[in-house]
Amino acid sequence: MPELNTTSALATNDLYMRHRADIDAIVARYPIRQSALMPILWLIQEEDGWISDEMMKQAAEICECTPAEVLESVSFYQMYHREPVGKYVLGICATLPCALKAADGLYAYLSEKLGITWAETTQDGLFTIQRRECLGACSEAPVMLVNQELETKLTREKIDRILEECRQGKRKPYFTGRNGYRA
Amino acid sequence: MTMKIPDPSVLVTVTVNGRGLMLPKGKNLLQALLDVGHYVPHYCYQPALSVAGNCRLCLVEIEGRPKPEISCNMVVTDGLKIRTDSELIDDCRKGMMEFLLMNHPLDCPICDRGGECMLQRYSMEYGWGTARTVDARRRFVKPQFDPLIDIERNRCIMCTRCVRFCDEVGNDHVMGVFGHGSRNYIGTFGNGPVSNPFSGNVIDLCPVGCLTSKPFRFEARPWELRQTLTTPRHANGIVTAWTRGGRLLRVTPPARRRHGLYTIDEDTTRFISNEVRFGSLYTDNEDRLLEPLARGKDGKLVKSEWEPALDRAAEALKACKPGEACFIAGERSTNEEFYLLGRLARAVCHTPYIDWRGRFVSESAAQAAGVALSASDGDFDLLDKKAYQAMLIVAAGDLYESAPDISLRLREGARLKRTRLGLIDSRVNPWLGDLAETAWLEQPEKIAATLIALAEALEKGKDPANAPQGMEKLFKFVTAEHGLLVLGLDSAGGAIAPELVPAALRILRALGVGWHFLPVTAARNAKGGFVAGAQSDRVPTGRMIDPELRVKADEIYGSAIPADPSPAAPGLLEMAAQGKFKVLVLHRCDELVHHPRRELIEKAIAATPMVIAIDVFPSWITERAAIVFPGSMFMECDGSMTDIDGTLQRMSKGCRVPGNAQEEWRIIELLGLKLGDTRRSKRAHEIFADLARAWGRPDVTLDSITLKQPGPEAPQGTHNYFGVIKRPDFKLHSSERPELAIAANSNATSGRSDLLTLWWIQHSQGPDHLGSRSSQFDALRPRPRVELSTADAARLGLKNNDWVLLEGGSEQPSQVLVNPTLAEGVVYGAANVLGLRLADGAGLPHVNLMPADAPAAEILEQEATARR
Repeated sequence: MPELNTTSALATNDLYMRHRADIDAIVARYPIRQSALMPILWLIQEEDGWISDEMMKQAAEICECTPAEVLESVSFYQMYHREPVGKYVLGICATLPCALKAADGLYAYLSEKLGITWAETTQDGLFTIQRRECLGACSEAPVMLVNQELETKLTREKIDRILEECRQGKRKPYFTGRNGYRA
Repeated sequence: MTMKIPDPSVLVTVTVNGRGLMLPKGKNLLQALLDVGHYVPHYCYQPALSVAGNCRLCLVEIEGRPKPEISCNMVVTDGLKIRTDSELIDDCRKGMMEFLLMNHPLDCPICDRGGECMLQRYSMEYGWGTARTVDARRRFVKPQFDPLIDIERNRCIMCTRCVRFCDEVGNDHVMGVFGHGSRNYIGTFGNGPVSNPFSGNVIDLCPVGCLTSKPFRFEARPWELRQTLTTPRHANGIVTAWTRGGRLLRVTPPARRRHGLYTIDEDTTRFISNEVRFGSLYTDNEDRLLEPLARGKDGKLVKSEWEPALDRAAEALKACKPGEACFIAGERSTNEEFYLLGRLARAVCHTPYIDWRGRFVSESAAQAAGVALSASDGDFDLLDKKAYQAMLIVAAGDLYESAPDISLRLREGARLKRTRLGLIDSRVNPWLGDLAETAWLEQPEKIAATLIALAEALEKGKDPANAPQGMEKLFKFVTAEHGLLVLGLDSAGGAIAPELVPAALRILRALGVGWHFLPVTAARNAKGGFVAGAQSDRVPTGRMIDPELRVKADEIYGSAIPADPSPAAPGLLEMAAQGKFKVLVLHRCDELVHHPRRELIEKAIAATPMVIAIDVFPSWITERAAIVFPGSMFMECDGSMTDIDGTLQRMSKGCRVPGNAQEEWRIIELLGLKLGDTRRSKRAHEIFADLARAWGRPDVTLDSITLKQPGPEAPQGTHNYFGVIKRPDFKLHSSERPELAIAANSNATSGRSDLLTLWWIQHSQGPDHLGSRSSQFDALRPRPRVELSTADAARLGLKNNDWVLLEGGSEQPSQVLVNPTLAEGVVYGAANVLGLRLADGAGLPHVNLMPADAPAAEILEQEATARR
C-alpha cells in the first residue's frame, strides 16, 4: 500500500472537462494549485461574462480550495463580476484626473442615453456601465474601458460613435459564450 | 513544518511602564504580559489561533522605535522596554475604538452579547464615550445563515477570529472575509451553514455581537444566569452550564470571573464540540421518564410509586441465588454509579456479573478494550503543556464523528504543541490528515499486521536500515524518542480490537519508555468503568480480580465478593439470551438502544423474567422492562466522570430533579437498602470519598476536583489522581490473555473480494444518541450516507449522491460519498444513522452494495425542511 496520495476526482467537473488543456496549462505554471485561481476565474469570465456560484464551486474543486476562498478572491476584485453583464462593459474612470476633465458629465450623458446607472445592464443585454479606478492614462483623460480596449480623450461624439460600433457588432464582445462568439 | 517551541525556562528582563518584569524569552509578548496579569486590551488575538494583527488595540510603545507597535505580533526579547500606559497609547486606543465603532449600529439593548461584549467593556475603559460621526452608518442585509448561529454583520469589527478558527481548528476554510475596503464582511459561501462539528465555538470567540447563538437568542441576559462548572454526561471535557430558574439555557467552554461577572472565556484554548454545546440541551426534551413504571398483572407498564417498585425489584433480586442476577452499567454512568453498581452486584447480590462494555459487538472486542485501558498511562492531559515529539494515531480518525470532543483534544494537542503527527487508519479524515506528517492507509483487517511489521522492525533496532519495505517514512516517524500512541478501540464496534490491542502493546514495548499509550473510545466514562469497579474483571482500583487482590476488594466493599470469573457485557448479553439470569439490571444503557446487535439484546430481555431499567428517556428497552426507574439528566446530579486521558472531571448539580425522578446513585442505594445493605449516603460526596479511599487518595474530595476556577491561560480544574494505574509491565498484560492472539487469527477474513468490508461507527448526532435528543440538533441530523474509496466507486460504477442499499447490513437506502482517503475494499458509514443490524459479533461485517431508488421527493423535501 503506497503512502497516502490525495487525488481529486475532476471527471464530473464541467468547467475542467470543457477547458482541460487550458486549465492544465495554467495549473502547471504554479507550484500549488490554488495559485491558478485568478487565471481560471478569468477563463470563466471570458466565457460567461460573469462568475456564478456554480462556477466558483467548480473552480474551487480544480484549485483544491474551498468555495469560500474563491468567493474571497472574486468579491475582493472589482474586475470579476458576480452578476451577468452586457456584451459591452463600459468602465468609466472615476478617479481625480478624469473627474477634473469632467468625466462625471460623460457618465451622466451615457447614463441618460442608455437609461441605466452604475453597475446596471441595459434591457437588450448590450451595455453595462461600471465605475473604475484609475486606468493609468491620465494624460489622455477622460478615459473609459470598452471591454478590454481603452478609449481616450472622450467626447460626447466619440461616445456616440463607440455605442454605434458596438450596436453594429463591429467590436469584440466581452464574453465568448459557451459555444464561442455569438453574433 | 514544526516550529521551534520557545523554552519558557529562560526568563529575560522586560521593562514595562518602568517596572522590570521577568518574561519567558521568545514568547508572544501580549500573551506573556497577560500571563503575568498585566492586561493589554485586544480583540483579534486569541492564544489558540494564529496572529492576525488587525484590531490594532494591543499597541505598545517601544523605546527606540518611532511608532507604537502591536504586541501580539512581537516576541519577548532581552532588554525590551515598553510602555502600555503612556498618553500616546491611550490616544491610539481611543482612536482605534472610535474607528471600530464608526459603523457599529450601537444596538446594545437588542444585542444578545450585551453584558459580555468586549466592545462594551473597552468602550468603557478605553473609548471616547460619545460618537462624533454624523454620517449614515454602513448597513448589511441580514442573511439566512447557520441553523444554530445567528449573524449580524453590522456589529462585526473584522477581527477574523471566526475565520481563523474554522481554518485552523476546524481545518475547513468555510468562513471567509469577503469584499474589500470598508465593505468587508464575514460569512460563508452562499450563506450556507458553518459546516464543522465545532462551529459553535465561533459564538464564544466573537468578541462582539456579530455571531450569536440561535438557541440562546433573546433567552436571557448573562447577568441573570447562574454558572456551574461541570462536565457533560455524553462527552469528554469541562464546560460551564448557564442556568436560570433551574432551566439550562446554554453550555459554553469554562467561563471565568471578570469584573465581578462570569463571562465566557474568550481566550480559552479548550473548545467544545456542537455535540456538547447544543446537544447538552437535551434537558429541554419533554419526552422523559418522570415516574417509576412497573408492569401490572395485565402485562402493561403503568405508573407506580417508588416504594412498591423498589420492593418488587428487591424481591426479585433477593430471590436470586448467587450468580443469577446480571448488571449492565451504561457507559455514561458516573464513577459513583459504577462503584455503587459494582458493590450492589458483587457484595450485596453476590453475583460476579457486572460490566459496562455494552457498546462492543463481541466478547473478545470488549476484553481487548479492557486490556488496552489497563495498559494506558493515566497521568497526562492532552492539552497540557507537556510536550512529546510525535503522536501516532491508530484507527481513531473516525472519532471526529463518534466522539468529536476527544478527536478535538487529540488534534489540538498535536496542533498547539506542534507535535509531529502520524496516522495509521482505514479512513484518513482530512481534519487530522492535513496536519499529519505521514499517513498510512490500510484496510481494517491489516492495521494490526502493519503495527506488528513496524514492531518487528523496531525490535531489531531504531536504525533506518531496519525499516520494512515501503514503510520507511512511517518507521522514521516512530523512531522518535518521546511520543504518544493513540489507539482507537471502538471502530466497527471493536471488531478489530482483539488483533489491534496485542499489536499495539507489542509496538509500545518496542518503542521504549519514552512513549505513552492512550487507548480511546467514544464511550463517555470508559475509564471510569475501569477504575470504579464496574468492569467484570476489575476491582475499584482498576486492578485485576485475582485471588490476592480479592482480599483487597473485600476490604473496599466491606464484604466478600464472588470468586467466579465473569464475561464482559457482550458475553453477559449472550448468557442472558440463553436464559441464564433471573434478573437483568440495565443502568442507563443508551448504547444498547442503538446497538447494531439489537436481536441479541431483544433475546436477552425476552429470556430474562425480570428486567429492571434505570433511564431518563423512554426507549424500546424501557418499554420491554418489568420495572423502570426514572433517573436524572445533565445538571441534575452530582458526581464525577473520568475523561479518556485519565482526567477526573466533576459533574455538578445545578438544577432540581423534576417530577418523581431521582438521582441514579440514590436509586441504586435505595435498592441496596431494600436488599439489606447498610449504605445510605446523604450526598454523592460520600460515595466519592469511598472511591478515593480505594484509589489510595483519601485526600481528594469531590469538591476539590474543580474548586479551582480555570485561569486565563491554562484552564485548571483537571487533576489526575490515578497513581495506581501508571504504565504497567506489558509482559504481564500481554500474557494475561493469551487467547486474544488466537481469537485475532480466527477473525481473519477469508478472501471474499466481491464484498466490501463495513467499517462503521456510532454517529454522535445519530438517532437515539443522548446528545441528539436535543431539539436544537434537528438541523444537524446526519443523513444516511456511506463512503466509498475512489477505486471501489469506479469499479461499482457509483458516483457521489447515488443511492445504494447495504445488502447484509441495513434496509435503509443511503447516499454514496466518494472519499479518496478511504482504503480500498471498505465501505464506511454510521450504524445508528443507517439502522445497521448485525446477526453476530464475529469479525468485521461484509456487505454488498446494491443500487437503490432514491426515496420519494416528498420525503427528501420534508427532511430538507427539517434541517433548515
